[in-house]
Amino acid sequence: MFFPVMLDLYKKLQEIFYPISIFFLEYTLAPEGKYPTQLREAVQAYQYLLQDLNIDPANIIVGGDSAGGNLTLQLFRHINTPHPEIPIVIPASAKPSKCILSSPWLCMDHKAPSYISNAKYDLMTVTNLSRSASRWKGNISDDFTDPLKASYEGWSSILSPTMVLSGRLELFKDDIQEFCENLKKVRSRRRATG
Amino acid sequence: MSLEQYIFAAVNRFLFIHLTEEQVVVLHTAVNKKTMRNILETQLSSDITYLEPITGQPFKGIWLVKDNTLSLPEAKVLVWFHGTATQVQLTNS
Repeated sequence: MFFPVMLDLYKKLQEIFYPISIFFLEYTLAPEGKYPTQLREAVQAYQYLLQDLNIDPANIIVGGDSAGGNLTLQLFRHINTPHPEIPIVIPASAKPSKCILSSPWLCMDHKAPSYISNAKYDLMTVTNLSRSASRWKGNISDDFTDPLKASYEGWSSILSPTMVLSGRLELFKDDIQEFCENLKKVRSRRRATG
Repeated sequence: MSLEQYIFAAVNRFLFIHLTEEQVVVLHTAVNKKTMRNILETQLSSDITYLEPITGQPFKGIWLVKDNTLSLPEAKVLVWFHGTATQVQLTNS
């Protein structure tokens, strides 16, 4: 299921960015790897692309789906404000050029109306999401784990141009919509003052 | 939403409810490995390498698609982070 989708994406990207390669991080899953293990691995992988392979950050797009979307935002936040438990510092000038969030998991409270209204359509359930979140981060909730709760004022400096994808029948729909509206508010305010 | 999509979601919900997280990962790994085998058997282009594991690093990762221009200054890369249930485990197999 997943790889054919990725290969489809590859073919479409190739039409725009040819040539392009796709790097896939096999991050450690919870409970074996608890927060912020996955962010540490993502930072190491990004540093590998920059330093070992000399890839120009202007030519790097970072994206992810579901929990991978959350990890994408963690990586962008870390580049802006390094996570206290991760000593690897990536300069802000080396931020990836673009960001793709596909049905990102933005808040682990699961209280938005769409968690109820779309329960019969989504392949995930709130029970499973809550269990996964608990196994991953325990009771911790911060700007990295729950990006929807973070002050949205900061996103304009944290993110590169971002594409967000969401389905209208998915559990995350309302959280994603709120996140996008917050991003738009920041952008329009910046335009008004700048 | 099509009937096919509705059934797909319902079957997955059933699995997520009745299987443990470890069992879901095993199931996804099995499906992914089968798909990967099919991809490897039908290489699409000689300029491209598929599913190349990255070795000697503190993280685990693979080049899902590696273009042979990766060493050039204009090489472009999409870094993709998967969802929790999509486990690849290629580097161990």
